[in-house]
Amino acid sequence: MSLTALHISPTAFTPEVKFDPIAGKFEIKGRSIPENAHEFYNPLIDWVKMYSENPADSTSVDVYFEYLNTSSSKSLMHLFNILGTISGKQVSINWLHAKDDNAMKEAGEDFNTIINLPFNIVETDTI
Amino acid sequence: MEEENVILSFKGIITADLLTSVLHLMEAKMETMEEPPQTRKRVFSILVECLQNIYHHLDDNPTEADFEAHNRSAVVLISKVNNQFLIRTGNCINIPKIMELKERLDMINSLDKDGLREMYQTSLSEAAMSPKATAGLGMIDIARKSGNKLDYEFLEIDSKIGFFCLNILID
Repeated sequence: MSLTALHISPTAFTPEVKFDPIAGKFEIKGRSIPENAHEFYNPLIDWVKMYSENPADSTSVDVYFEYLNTSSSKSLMHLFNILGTISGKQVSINWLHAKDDNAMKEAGEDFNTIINLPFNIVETDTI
Repeated sequence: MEEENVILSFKGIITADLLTSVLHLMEAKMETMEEPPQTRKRVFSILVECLQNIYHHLDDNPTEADFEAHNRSAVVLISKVNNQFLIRTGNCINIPKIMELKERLDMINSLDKDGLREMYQTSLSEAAMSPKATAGLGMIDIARKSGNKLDYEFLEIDSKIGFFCLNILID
């Protein structure tokens, strides 16, 4: 059974999600500050678990946050860890942050330190 | 002379809906203030963690008989004191839980910037291993983002219930 693409529209407190299993292109973008991040991220985590069983040759994850709460960070960590289990294929994470947004840059550096995946921190003007 | 301007204050039972409303209101208020965008973002992020901390803390005690409805309420006051933002929160806490929280706060306060980063990263990787664990990430994040020590106090209401006051001055 092939996995269908996942698209979730953004809300005031949750990000936009676009996961394309064929192209191996993932995007999470916007605000992630729900009080219960598990509720939002668990379906994403389940999807990524299924994806990781039959991933594309190359997977690229673009992440851009305007706000990120600690509850979401925990779920993201879980999600990255699952991507980290993919072996023999390329997986990389691009952590985008707005110019001058030191908090989001720092959040990226935290993940970069504790995650075992190619991780690029990229300053950007246009999202 | 200390000058304090209250931006937003609230007293009552904290629900998920209320939490959302307070955040929307605060964001709208700050948009009208002449603050650097990074200051606004920092204040908002810290407020998110503060409110969600209180909410989840209350969530831990839903069935305890001693924790009656009036004890499920909290106070939140956001103001500007001499040009710095100050977030003050107060909520009830079961007396037996005070020691653990106090130890965690003192631990956080004993660390410098690099120590906090290390503690945060360790807690974050542990939290992902067991998603249900409350690694206390919120408090570490608040300390890191505010750039100041967590100023706190515990008051005794009766033999079972205490009141936890937290003052966060934001650089």
